[in-house]
Amino acid sequence: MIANYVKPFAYSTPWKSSSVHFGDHRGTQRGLGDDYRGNVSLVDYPDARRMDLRQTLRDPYEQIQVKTFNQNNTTPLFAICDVSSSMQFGSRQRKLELAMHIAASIAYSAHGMGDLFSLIAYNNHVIEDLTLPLSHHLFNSLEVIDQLSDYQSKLAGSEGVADVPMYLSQHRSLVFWISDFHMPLELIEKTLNAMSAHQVVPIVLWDDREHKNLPQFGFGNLIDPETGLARTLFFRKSLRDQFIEAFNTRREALDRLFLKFDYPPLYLQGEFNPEALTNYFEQYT
Amino acid sequence: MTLLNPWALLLLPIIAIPFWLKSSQGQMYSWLDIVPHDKFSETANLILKIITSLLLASIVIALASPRGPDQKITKTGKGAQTVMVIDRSVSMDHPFAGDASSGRAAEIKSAAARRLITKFIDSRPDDMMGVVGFTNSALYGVKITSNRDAIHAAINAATSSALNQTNIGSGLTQAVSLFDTIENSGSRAIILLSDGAGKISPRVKQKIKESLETRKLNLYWIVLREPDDISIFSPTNSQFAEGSEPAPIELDKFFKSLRIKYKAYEADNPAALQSAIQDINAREKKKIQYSISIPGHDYADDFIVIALFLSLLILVAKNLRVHSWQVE
Repeated sequence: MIANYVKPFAYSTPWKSSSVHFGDHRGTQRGLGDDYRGNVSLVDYPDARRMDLRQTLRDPYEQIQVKTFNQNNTTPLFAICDVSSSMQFGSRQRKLELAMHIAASIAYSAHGMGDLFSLIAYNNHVIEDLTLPLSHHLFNSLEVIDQLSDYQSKLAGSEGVADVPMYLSQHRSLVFWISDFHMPLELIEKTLNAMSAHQVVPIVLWDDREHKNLPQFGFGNLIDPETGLARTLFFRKSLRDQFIEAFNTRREALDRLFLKFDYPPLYLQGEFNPEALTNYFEQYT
Repeated sequence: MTLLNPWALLLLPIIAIPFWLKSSQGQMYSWLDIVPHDKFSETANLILKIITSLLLASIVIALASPRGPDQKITKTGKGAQTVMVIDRSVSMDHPFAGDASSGRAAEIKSAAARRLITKFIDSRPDDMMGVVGFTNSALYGVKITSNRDAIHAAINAATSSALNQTNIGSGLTQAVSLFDTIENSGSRAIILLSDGAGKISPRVKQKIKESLETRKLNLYWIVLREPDDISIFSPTNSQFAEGSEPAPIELDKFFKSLRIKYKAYEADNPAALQSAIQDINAREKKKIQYSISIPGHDYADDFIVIALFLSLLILVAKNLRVHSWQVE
């Protein structure tokens, strides 16, 4: 049974897949498809069904011409899921749960398009138990993704993302990076560099309660779940403005970094809405 | 400045606790690096920690109870160092003479004695007094002191009733012994208040004689008399043969034979008792000097008040705490 948080969305890839398997994305493989590739002589490609009469008549060498097409192929999809301690943030729904919903929806959508899916989870290292190889096994994937819901981690950072590119495919893939991106920009840049062979979709999970809906007035002791450090703040109007300012600056910095790699980010929060991803692909690919 | 409990200062390192221990109470926040640096919050937090430290320090210092140096003050008083020797026999609980047959409720002898002696004490604020009660033996009341509360309490105790016996000798020797523990400051007197007399053995007589004479003590004897009793001032007293006088007359004679200042009074009503006490009051007007030590100021109280005030501040800060994020 598919859990009700699994919501499929439509996606497409802007590049030609190098896979040899029949799928739904434009590929580089010659075969049965509707992506016109060119004409060759019947001798080279002895398929009488594809004879191109118009081109044959125009050929000064009077060779019989055959149309060739590119076959539609599969493309691998990767969901990189940040399970560091900061993803535990949230009250009614942790960020990790939202990440889980998104990952499950990606797995389901990939299955719908006949694509391969792989999950990679990391905190301060890549977590092998929550990592899946590329496969068509939808239910296996959903089962592992479901384990994210009761995943607890304390004092776990997100440095493990540096190892994630080693787990990716050799072929160009569609990579969803689901994280709050609460990590140094240098680490993000280094990782993106290592993943530049792929199309990365950064999905930024921020919560309004991190910046807009802060406490109104009073002392608050903020504890960082990743480092265990604490800071006492006296919340008031001007401090809340500073928070919003800090997050705006951060957002600009993240946007600039992602756009440098031509990976426009997608900011999500609250309930997962599959239209957000569908719109994203319609807009950018 | 001295510390009564210096060992309490061993606890002093706990004032570092607010700076040393990290609070694990609070709200989880996803990323501390993005939290803006806020000077005001840091200052407020530091002040809060300092307040907590000061609070702990105040309590520790209060536990060590520092106190200022003792002061010795020489006080000048007028009047005597007086010891009240009060009869507590059952007969003291009888009313004054004459009133029983008049049909009116009369004042009890011991109650009148208590009232008038209390007044006497209050009229001489600089005096030092001691109290001894007696029935069949002496009952130590209070040493010679200028502490009014103690004297009042001792008078209250000494004027309540006890056994039906009157052992004046024992009361007097106990009273004399009270003077041994205190410096002679001028005039010293014993006020003997009784409603009769008992026989005193020759041995005790000899002892009383020696001790009263060597210490130069003045003796005042107030006899609370009932009408049919023999008066020690009666002119017919000489009719009694030597050695067969009634007890009061014999005692009066004995006191007169001592080489000390002695005066006897007879009172058969509260007014007479009052006039007797007033007479004693007028006689004992010599200046006396004595020193008392005033304990140094106890600073522990001040530190407790400071701690209370600081904890109020902390209470305010505690109520300013945010416990949860607002839900959108």
